[in-house]
This record gives sequence, structure tokens and C-alpha cells, in this order.
Amino acid sequence: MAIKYEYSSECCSHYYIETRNNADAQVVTKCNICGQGEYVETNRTEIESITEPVYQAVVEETISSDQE
Amino acid sequence: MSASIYSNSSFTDSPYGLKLQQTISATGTSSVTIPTGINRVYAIVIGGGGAGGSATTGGTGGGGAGGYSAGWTYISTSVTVGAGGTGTSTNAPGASGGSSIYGMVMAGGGSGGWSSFRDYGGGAGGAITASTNTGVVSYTGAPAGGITYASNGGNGGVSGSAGVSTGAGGGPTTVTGTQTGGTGGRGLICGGGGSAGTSGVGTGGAGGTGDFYAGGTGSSGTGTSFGGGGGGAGYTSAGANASANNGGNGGSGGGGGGGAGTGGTAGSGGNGVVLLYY
Repeated sequence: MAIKYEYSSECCSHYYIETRNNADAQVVTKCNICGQGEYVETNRTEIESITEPVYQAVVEETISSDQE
Repeated sequence: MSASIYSNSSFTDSPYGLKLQQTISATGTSSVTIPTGINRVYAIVIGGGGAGGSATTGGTGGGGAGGYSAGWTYISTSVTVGAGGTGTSTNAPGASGGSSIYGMVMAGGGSGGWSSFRDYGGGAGGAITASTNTGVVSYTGAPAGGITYASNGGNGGVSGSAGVSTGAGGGPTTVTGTQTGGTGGRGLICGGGGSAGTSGVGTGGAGGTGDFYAGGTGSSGTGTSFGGGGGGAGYTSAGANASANNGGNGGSGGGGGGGAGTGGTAGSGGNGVVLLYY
């Protein structure tokens, strides 16, 4: 499951959205606008919960002829 | 208050005049809402990294880095982020990473590392996913192979070439004597290190060193319980170190996984990521 969060930076109150897998760490922590403050986990709002199946990469089993 | 977009230590290549407004790292397809009145956005799109190879005997190649694409696109209400290939211990080539796309900007995944009877490091992704040691051209036509936009993986103990997205190091298949895996290529997003699997001194190759983050270190020691390759640096985090004969995971944002030494588990590729500026 994934969750979409909206952060408000502690420095300039810029709103920033991050959509990530539930178990993953925050991707961007530093304010992208003034570079001073943080997007802190205590200053966020959950705006959507996404329950679609996660993407599964295809396992390559075949060997192309140019690798022989 | 004055604003400087150059101040962000993590994303120094932010396009001038634009703000990073959304980051999507959730794998699969999810919805995107762009404010009314904005019809074009600048997207950085990165595919998933390839997994390292695994083998019952000998060294293997690391996984290639996910592709990197950036440019203007019409807005879209959905985004797809490719997962990194999952590392296994099944004596098989690693899984390729998945493709990512937003609007008309797309990036493929890196190739999985090769194993056993082959020893190539995976090639870097481009517009589409790589499936061999050869890198793939970008969606804008930037060339692949050698030291290019998307570089090739190394063969045997040879390191991957440098590039934007880079190929992985190869792993020597020789199972006696001193053996060393190749390192992942240096670049923005990097391939994993190749592994060694030998009764002698085996040293796994380090994951490629990125512009923003470090690659993981390889494992070294005597015997087949050592020799895993390090994970390559991703766009948003460092690659993990190898442990024993297991490869390290690639950094998030497309880093390639490290190859597994004899009987070990390969490192998984890092998931892709999409960043939207407007």
C-alpha cells in the first residue's frame, strides 16, 4: 500500500507532496524552496491511501543470441 | 523572503525557476493531481535498478542502473514507478528493473546481472528497459554503450563504464585463486558491483559511486562465504554494502543491486522515482 502525504515546510510553509510505499522512508526531507528548513513528519497531512497492487518486475529468463 | 533553489543539498540539479512540488516513489501506478492552470510540468523520471545475478558456483554480475530521463511534458493524472528487480539465490540472471513514466517522459529499468555460465554486469536502462549488458538509448536519442548516457556492464571482472546511468561490474566465473569483481560504473545513477566466488581470496566489486550518494562496498575474504558485490548508488539514497556472499541492495532511485557470490543472495535493485517540478 502507498500513501500520499502533503508536507508544509517549517521554514517557508511551502506545500510539497510525496507519494511513497507505506514502509519506505521519506524521500525528500529538505525544503526545496529556501533550502533552510525541513519537511518534518510531524507537519504533514495524509491526503490519499492507495491500495493498488505494486508493480512486479518481470524476471528475464531468455538469453539473447548476441550474448552467446 | 528571497528564495534560492540552489540551496537544496540533495537535489542540486533542480531546474532553474521551478520548484520540486511532488515526489512519487510508490511503485506501481498512482494518481497525480496538478493544480488548475498548470498545463506543463518538468519531470525527472527514473526506472528501477536491476538485481544482481546469483549462482551456485562462481561470481556474477551486478544489476544495471535504472534509466534517467528529464524533460517537459503535458500533465497527466497518473504516474507509474517501476520497482527494482528482486534479488534471489536461484542460480539465475537477476531480474530487470521496471519502467517508470509520467506523461511523455519515460525511463526503463536496468538489466539484471548475469550469472553462472555468463558473467556480465547488467547494462543501464534508457527509454526502455535493458535486458543484457548493453545500455539503452534515451527517449531523446542520447547514445548508449561505452561511456555514454546509459553505459554498458563489464564482462568478467571488468568494471562497468561511466555514464549518466551506468552499467554494473562483471563477476569472474573462475572458482579458484584470487578473484575480484568489477565495480559499478560512476555516474548519476549507478550499477552494482560484480561478485567473486572462489576458494581463494574473493573480493566483491563496489557499487558505482554516484554524484549525490555513495555506492556500497564489496565483501572480501578467503573462501566462498565472501565476495558479494556492493549496491550501486541511487538518485535518492546510497547503495548498501555487501554482506558475506550476498550482494548489497541498490540505492533507491534506480541503483543496481550487487551480484551474489557462490550460493549467496543477490542484491535487489532500488525502486524508481518520479520528481515533478512546476
